[in-house]
Amino acid sequence: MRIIITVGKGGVGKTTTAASLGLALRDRGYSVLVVSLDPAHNLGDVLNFKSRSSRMKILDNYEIIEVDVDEAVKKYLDEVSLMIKSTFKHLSVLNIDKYIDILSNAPGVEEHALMSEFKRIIQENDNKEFIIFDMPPTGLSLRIISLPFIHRSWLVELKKLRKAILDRRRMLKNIGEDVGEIPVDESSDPVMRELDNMLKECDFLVKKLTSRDTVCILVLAPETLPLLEAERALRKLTSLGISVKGCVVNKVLRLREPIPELKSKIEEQERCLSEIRRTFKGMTIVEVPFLEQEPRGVDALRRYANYIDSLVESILRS
Amino acid sequence: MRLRDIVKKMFSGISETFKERSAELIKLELRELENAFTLLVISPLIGLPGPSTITSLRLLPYIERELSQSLNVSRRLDDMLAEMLGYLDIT
Ligand SMILES: Nc1ncnc2c1ncn2[C@@H]1O[C@H](COP(=O)(O)OP(=O)(O)OP(=O)(O)O)[C@@H](O)[C@H]1O
Ligand SMILES: [Mg+2]
Repeated sequence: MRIIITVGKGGVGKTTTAASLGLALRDRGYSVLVVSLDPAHNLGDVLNFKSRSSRMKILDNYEIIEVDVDEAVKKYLDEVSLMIKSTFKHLSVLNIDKYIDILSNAPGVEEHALMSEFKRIIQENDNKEFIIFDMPPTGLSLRIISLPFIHRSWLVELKKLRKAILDRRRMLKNIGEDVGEIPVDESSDPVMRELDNMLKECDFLVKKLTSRDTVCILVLAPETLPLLEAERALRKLTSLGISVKGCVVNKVLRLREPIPELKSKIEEQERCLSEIRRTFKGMTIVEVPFLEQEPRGVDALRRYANYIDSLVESILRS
Repeated sequence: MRLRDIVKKMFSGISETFKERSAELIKLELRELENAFTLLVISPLIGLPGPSTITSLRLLPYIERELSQSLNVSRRLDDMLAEMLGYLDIT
């Protein structure tokens, strides 16, 4: 199973690109699942698909999922609450449900919930050849994606500290001090066990994200701000060890006749295009013109796919 | 008493005090490490940056003893300073 993630500034065409990329792969005979992790979904809209359920079959071998973010947060907190209840058994007076309710508004919980959905979806859809994730705008995307990496380094530090604690306890015990009923070995320490469990969960995600089978596609418009965001995303993703395969420059204005009012716009575009070729050298860069009609529905998305054909090929080659 | 015995006795006395002394230092170190660990674990719950809230909640049940120890320490922070200075023979 391979994973493709589309990242870029709001409104540049991530969803359109994800849906069309999926279609192109499906038309080449692969089974494809496109997943929207954006709290503001429009994957169904882009495909002109009316039914509103979370999982929809558009064509044979082409399914989409729109993750209900509120539902995901709830599911995530339910899991957490269950886990906590089982460990805080002796504290039945503690009204954990109240606390969990409040947690749903805590900073960072949405990212955690989305990351945990990401994990659940790739675990439950192992039979698909491609899973394409349509992400929310850059900032939130990068926060979600870097979560397991940040979490992992915390856990590693906590483990080191815990190990130092157990070492001291063992030393005291060895020189005959009475340390009481506390764990002195890593194997008997429940804290170490829990740290290891959490580390294992992070490792799974870190491994998946940095695997050769996972690639990010940057989507941008030939304008200064989307370009700056794409550069930032490229730096961040590369520093995490995630492979960025290519970029889609969408909504490129190609005018038959020059229009004076658009002169400076076109100049900015050309400046950005040459900057893009410099910054993303070595990656597959594809351009999609600004289309007269919004590319919505299967047929329009197939036409859109023609523009990104060399990107599809390069994904298939790698 | 033969000189050898005297020397032996003297040394065993010294090593006893050394042992006591180092045990006290290890205990002090252990408590500091436990406090640091506890603080890191609960930091997201008290609004400090740290590992996620969820990490905290998952570890919390197992660090009850350390947690109450840390709380005690912070309650008598002044005492603790005196205690540490005592260990280091500064006063
Ligand atoms: N090449 C194009 N020409 C004209 N319109 C386009 C083109 N590509 C995308 N659009 C239109 O631009 C709008 C935004 O596209 P899309 O929803 O794919 O962007 P997005 O990056 O997913 O946005 P969001 O950040 O809101 O999720 C849509 O209405 C889409 O139909
Ligand atoms: Mg979108």
